[in-house]
Amino acid sequence: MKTLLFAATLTACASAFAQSDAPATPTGQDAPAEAAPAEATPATTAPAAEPVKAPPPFTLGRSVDKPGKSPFATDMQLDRPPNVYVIPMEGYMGVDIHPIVYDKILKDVKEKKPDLIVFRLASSDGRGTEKYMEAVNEAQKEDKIDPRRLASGITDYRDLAAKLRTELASFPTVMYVQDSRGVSCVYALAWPYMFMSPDARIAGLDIVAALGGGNDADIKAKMFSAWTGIAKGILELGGRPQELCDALVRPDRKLSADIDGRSTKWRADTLGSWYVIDSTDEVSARFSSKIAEDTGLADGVAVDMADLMYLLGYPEYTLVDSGEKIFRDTNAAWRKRYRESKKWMEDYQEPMDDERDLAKRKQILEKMLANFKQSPQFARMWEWTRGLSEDQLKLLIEQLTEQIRAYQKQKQGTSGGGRSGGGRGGPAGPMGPGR
Amino acid sequence: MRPLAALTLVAAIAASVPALEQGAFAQSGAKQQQVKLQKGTWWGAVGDRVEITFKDSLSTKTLTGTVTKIDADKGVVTVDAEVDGKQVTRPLFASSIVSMKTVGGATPAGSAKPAAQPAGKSGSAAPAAPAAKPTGKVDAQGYQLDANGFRIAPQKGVFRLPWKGGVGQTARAEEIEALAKEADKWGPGQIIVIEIDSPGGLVTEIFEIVDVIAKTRERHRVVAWIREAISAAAVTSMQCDEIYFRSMGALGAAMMIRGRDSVYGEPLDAFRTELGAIIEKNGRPRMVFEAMVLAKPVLTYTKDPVTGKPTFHDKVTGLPGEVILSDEKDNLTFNASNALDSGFSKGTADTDEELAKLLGLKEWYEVSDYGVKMATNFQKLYEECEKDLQLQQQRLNIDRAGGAEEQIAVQIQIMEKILAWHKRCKPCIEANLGPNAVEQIQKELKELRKRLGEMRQAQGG
Repeated sequence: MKTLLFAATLTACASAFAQSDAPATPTGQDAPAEAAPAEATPATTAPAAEPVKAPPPFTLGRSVDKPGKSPFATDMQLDRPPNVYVIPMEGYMGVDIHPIVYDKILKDVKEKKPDLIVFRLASSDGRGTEKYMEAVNEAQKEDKIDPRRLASGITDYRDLAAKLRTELASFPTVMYVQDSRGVSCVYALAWPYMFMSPDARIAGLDIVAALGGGNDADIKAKMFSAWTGIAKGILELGGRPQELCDALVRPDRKLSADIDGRSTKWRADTLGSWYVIDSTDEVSARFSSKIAEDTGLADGVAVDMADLMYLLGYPEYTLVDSGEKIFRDTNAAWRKRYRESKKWMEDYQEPMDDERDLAKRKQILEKMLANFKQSPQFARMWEWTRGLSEDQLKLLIEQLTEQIRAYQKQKQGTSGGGRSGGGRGGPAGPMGPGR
Repeated sequence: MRPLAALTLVAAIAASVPALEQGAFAQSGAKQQQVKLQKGTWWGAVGDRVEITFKDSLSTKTLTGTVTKIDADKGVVTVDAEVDGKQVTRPLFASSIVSMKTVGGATPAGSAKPAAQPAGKSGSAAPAAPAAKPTGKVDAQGYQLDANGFRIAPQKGVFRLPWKGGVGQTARAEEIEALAKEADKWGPGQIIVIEIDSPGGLVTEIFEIVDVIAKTRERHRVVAWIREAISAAAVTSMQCDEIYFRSMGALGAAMMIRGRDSVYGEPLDAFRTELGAIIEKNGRPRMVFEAMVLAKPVLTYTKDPVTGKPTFHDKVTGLPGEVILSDEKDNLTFNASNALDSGFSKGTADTDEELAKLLGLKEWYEVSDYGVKMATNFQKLYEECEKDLQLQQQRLNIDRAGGAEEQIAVQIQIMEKILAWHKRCKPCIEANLGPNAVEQIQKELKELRKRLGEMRQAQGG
């Protein structure tokens, strides 16, 4: 854990602000009998009897009538700087952002018992561009996953979001979007309180609509409706209204907004008195941080974590970064093996000099299989980037075993070659391009 | 004259169902209906002889008579009774009824007045309430039994069934039927919660499912709790008494398809006609189902500005506040918010406790874990079988080093493995290989064994 402290001047300013802008504090809460825990405020110079107190200087962007526990200082009324646990969601949906990581993090959260949880989302599905086809073309490059493939895991993403919501229901939670393009947008909006970094976007959820298919209008309508319905379900976790959900998922829907004070009424047309967000039938609605903030979709724009905390009303906070560490360590471990495995598979593809190379190839595949079993993320990365599955590995290993046996038999001069099977004409063997 | 079994049913249900917080009539589709009174509820049907205490202007009156009509929409119970020596038909608002009890059996505990014996009813009828008094008897599993031989649950609860995966594959009629039979052990009036999480599946299975649910509803309250109910799973949900959503739930998109094509003509007509009628019979508008099947049908809803009561429309009316759920290019899929707002669902719950409240239970309590164990074990077995089946089929293609004889021997091994899977998980094998596949495998196996025998004989000779 590391403690962050803003400049003393800022704290002083905040305290002054707090006194003037604070809601009435119930009698008896003015002077807590107990001092703040020492480890929570190691750098605080205030005497124990006068802990750093909420309420905070600002309630900027604070929205009304949101479901879930409010993360704002004015609502939490802590008598010390909060312990803030950051849960990262970074990289590829379904690969880096995988349930296996969050099972570990959930366990850790329950041990650390933070005051506030921040989901930090930075996932652009490997896209360097917003345009869908360019994204698909880019996906052909090494290690890029086709955005449609990523989007097809949407029911898994839904289940993970629901699990995180349920398991963390007792904590005030806020989503901090550093970048969200493609299917990760469902996470950007699955929590009611959401902030964005200045250059963040929420865009490209129409990838889900592209999952449909079929040969006639009715089957297309069915598939379209089913996929978009599932995606909208995740957005509803964040309490987002139907007009907004529709426009985010469906290219054929428009979106504008009427804004009255802090409340926004989303409209499925272009007649909104304030903002027209999406006026085309070509793409779904997309938000820059400015539009998101202006329309109240985002509760605010924060440059970094400290800024986010400040906007929530915490000039001071204690960062619990073990979630970041778990995320980094778990993903770094399999990614390291993944990088190594690409080299293994290059070796596998090398031309063979003689039959001894068959044994080497088999060893490589066995090593691959062991990693597939050990890490679902490793396995998924291979499957989603190159179409290699655990079953295929098993079959290739069995084929190699038979070929090795056949060579050995040939060598021993025994009869019955390996190529005299039952005439089923199986798939190309694992001999690779070398023969 | 109603049979004794039906009378027992009324009495047992009356004893076991707590007051609900929903509308006066929670179940208008079934024979047995629930009436919410000023305090508590009454369960029964037309033809029941009842004793009713009700508010009439400033006074409270009691009458005994026979229920002739239960109007679910208006919340009115009509009773034929003898008042001052005259036979009268008296409609009563459920909200004016202080208490109402079936007088077919023993008087409820605490009541000083002996119950009148209804005409034509056996004196051995089950008590109206409470039925769940232990008799001291226990069944083979150690459960306490009541006077009717039903198991006694420590408290009112639910029977949960995780219904996950493809319809006809891991989400089937069999599990619903089996759980209903399990619930029967605790007597009628149990709450069966089907947790639906399915992308749809076989149309052939859906007719069996709606049939099983219809039969189950005759004796229990069947609730659908939606995570994902697409296509055939949407139809399954609409056959239940009540539908609740999870926040992320989605329900709809029910067009019949084969591969990448829609199915039209006679099969689709039969699907729309038969299932449309069933859904309508359940009190859900046929137009809702129609909008889920084809793209063209439109579905909108408006809400009465005074009562807030929603009404569905099959065209855009232009009425103020109209919400378009499905347009001419679209297929209907509900989410939690519009399902609730339009009255299609009865509530949204993300946790067991939230659902318990909506069901009118004090807390979430699972009477038996039978449904959960049965379903999860089967789903696990099915997945294992499907995965291995795919692998085994591909293994058939691998050339064996030992030549033709070994090739045949391995093929025999693989086919025997598939047959063993068929014994353990017949639905999976049939779904993946077809209903007649096993016969073909057996035939081929016989042939391969013969060939192998001949080869070995030739080598030996």
